[in-house]
Parts: sequence; C-alpha cells; structure tokens
Amino acid sequence: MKKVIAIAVAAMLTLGFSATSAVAGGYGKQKVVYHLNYDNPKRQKGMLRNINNHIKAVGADKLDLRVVMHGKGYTLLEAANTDLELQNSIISLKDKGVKFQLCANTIRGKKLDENKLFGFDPAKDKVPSGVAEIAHLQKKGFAYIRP
Amino acid sequence: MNDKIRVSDEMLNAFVDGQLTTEEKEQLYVSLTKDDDIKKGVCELRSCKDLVQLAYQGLPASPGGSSDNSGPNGSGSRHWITGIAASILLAVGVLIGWQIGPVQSDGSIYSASNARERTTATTVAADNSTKVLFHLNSRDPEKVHEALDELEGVLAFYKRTGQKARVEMITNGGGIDLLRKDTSPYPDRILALQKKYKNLTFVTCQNTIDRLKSERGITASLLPGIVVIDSGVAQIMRRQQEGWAYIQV
Repeated sequence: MKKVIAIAVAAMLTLGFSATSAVAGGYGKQKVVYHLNYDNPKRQKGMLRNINNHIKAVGADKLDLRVVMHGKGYTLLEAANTDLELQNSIISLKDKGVKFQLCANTIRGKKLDENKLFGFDPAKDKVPSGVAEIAHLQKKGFAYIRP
Repeated sequence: MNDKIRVSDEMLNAFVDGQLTTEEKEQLYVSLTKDDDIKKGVCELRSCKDLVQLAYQGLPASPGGSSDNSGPNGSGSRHWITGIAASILLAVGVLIGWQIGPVQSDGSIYSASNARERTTATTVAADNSTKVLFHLNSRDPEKVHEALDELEGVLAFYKRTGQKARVEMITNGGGIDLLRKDTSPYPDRILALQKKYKNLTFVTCQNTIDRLKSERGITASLLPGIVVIDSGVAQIMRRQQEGWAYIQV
C-alpha cells in the first residue's frame, strides 16, 4: 500500500512540475503588497531596492504595487525628510506608480504629525488599518512580500 | 477510555475538515490541551490531509473521510491510508486527463477546490469573511509586544466596523514562548483576548514542541486554549491555500 502511495506521489510531482514549468516566460500582470513595520534604515532601504528591481523585472505598466506601513514603518517617511537619497528613491518609485500607504491607527497611536512625513498626502495615502488593508489586498489577489 | 477516543475520532475528523461549530471546536480545544492522545490524533489526521493537499491542492475531499472513522479504532488508520491512496490515484487521473485532454477553461481545477471549500466552510465561517493569519516566530520582547498590539488592533477594527473575520496567530520557533505557561510575558492578556474575541485562535507547532524537548529537554506546558498543529510552516501554506491573508509580525 505504501508503495502505491509513493508511486502516486512521484507521478504527481513530475506531472505537476511539467505543468508549472510550461507557464514560465514573462511575468504578466502582478499585484503586490510590500509590508513595512520595522524601523531598521538599512532594511528599509533594502526594501526600496527590492521594489525597484521588482519593477524592472515586471514592468511598471504591468504592476500594481503598494507599500503598506504600520507600526514603526512610518520612520521611512520621517527619515526621508533629511535624507536626500531616500527622498529620491521614494519619488522615483512613486513616479513608477508605487503607492505608499500608512495606517491611521499608527498615526493616531503614535501621535504623528502628518506634515512631517515625507510626501504623505492624508487624503490618498492613509488607510484605516494597516493590517486590515494588507489582509484586504491579499483577498483581492495581491501577493504579500515582507523583505 | 476507548469510548472517549472513539467519539473523538469522529470529532477530530470533523475538526480537521473544518466542519465543527464554534462550540464544538472550543470544547475540542480544551480537550486538546489536556489530552496527548487527542493531540496526536489531530496531528496524524492533519498530516494525512497535508499529504493529499500538498501533493495536489485541488483534490476533492476523500470519500473515506469522516464517515469511515466511525468504525473501531484498529481499522481507522488503514481506512485512511486506503482513502488517501484512492484520492491520490484519482488526482493523478485528473491530472493526466488535464494534461492530455484539450485544455479547458482554467477554472476547472480550481472549481473543485472552491466547491470543497464552500461545503466544508459553511459551519465555520461564511466564505466572504476575512481570514487573517499572523505569524510570530520570534521571542524578541519588542516584536512579541508589537505582534499582540497589531493582533488586538485588527480584531478591534473588525469588531468596530462590523466585518466578519477570523484571526489566527501561529507561533513557531521562539514564538512559542509567548504561549508557554512558564515563559509567556503576557499570559493574562492572552486569556483576556481569547475571552473577548471568539474569532481568535492561538496556535503553535508540534515540531517546535518536539524540538524544545529534544534540544533543551523542556516539556512545553501551554496556556489554556492553545491549539497545537503538526507543522507551523505547513499550516501557513494550508491557510494561504484556503484563502487566508498572511501577515508576518
């Protein structure tokens, strides 16, 4: 009986493999949410690099990419006020269609001054709950990435 | 004892298949934390289900599932194996047919899994409810604190906005410490959260428990109401396949 299972599983793996490999070649359209809730500057900059490379690989026109920030993630926008390099990469990503969104609970909880967050537009960039937004986006088919 | 286990077999199958009502589940969660046999039973059933699901996601439910296990204990596991083998062969057949035959609308495979989801999910949660999985794999006090804050924040958000939601926090690796009686920094807060939000479940991983035992000689004693599953990573895959959103904290 165990043999039967083993053979069946092996057969399935090979079949599954050939089925998936046939799909390769060009990524098509993608919807992706990047999750940012940490304040390590190196890691934050790494994430922006990841996003840039992601856009290069898929194409800005084929990509709906959001960065959802909550918890300590807001420090990215705070740091950008005094860091030109960071400013440039945020602006350049926004030009390519990336949305940077921040959790309203975080703004309230940490009593943040919205005017001191680089490039932040409360009308467009504020979401009621960062976590709920990420859950919502995944439900709509967005892939989740937390570099 | 025999009697208790036999009743539990049916219940465990229903549990693994997500067919229990909230009350039944709660009852089972309590027994889970008390009874090692039952815990093991769930792990075995779950890994059986995993084998099938991991091998082929869209597989229809095994016909030898919950009904088979009303039989005596001894034959239970054999029935399961037969069921799995049959299901796997069926899946191979479906796959071969899919490969060889004309390509149908790409929904054909997923519709099978959707149909299954719909039938099994009815008693647990309506399909339109939001399902969120938090993953904690660290004992770093700051991370743990943030994780609980985020967990509570989103539960409160869903409650305030009247959204139907289920939330699960899965812990593995160092994350298990949050749920262990002798290491949890917030035992009272966890109890309070469980009490306040019936749609919340704390879960930990048998592999992590086993590793604590083998590597550090620690027998993990968990807070009440904690669900133990076979493997945290497998559970994360399973949940995402079932349409849960995944959030790492």
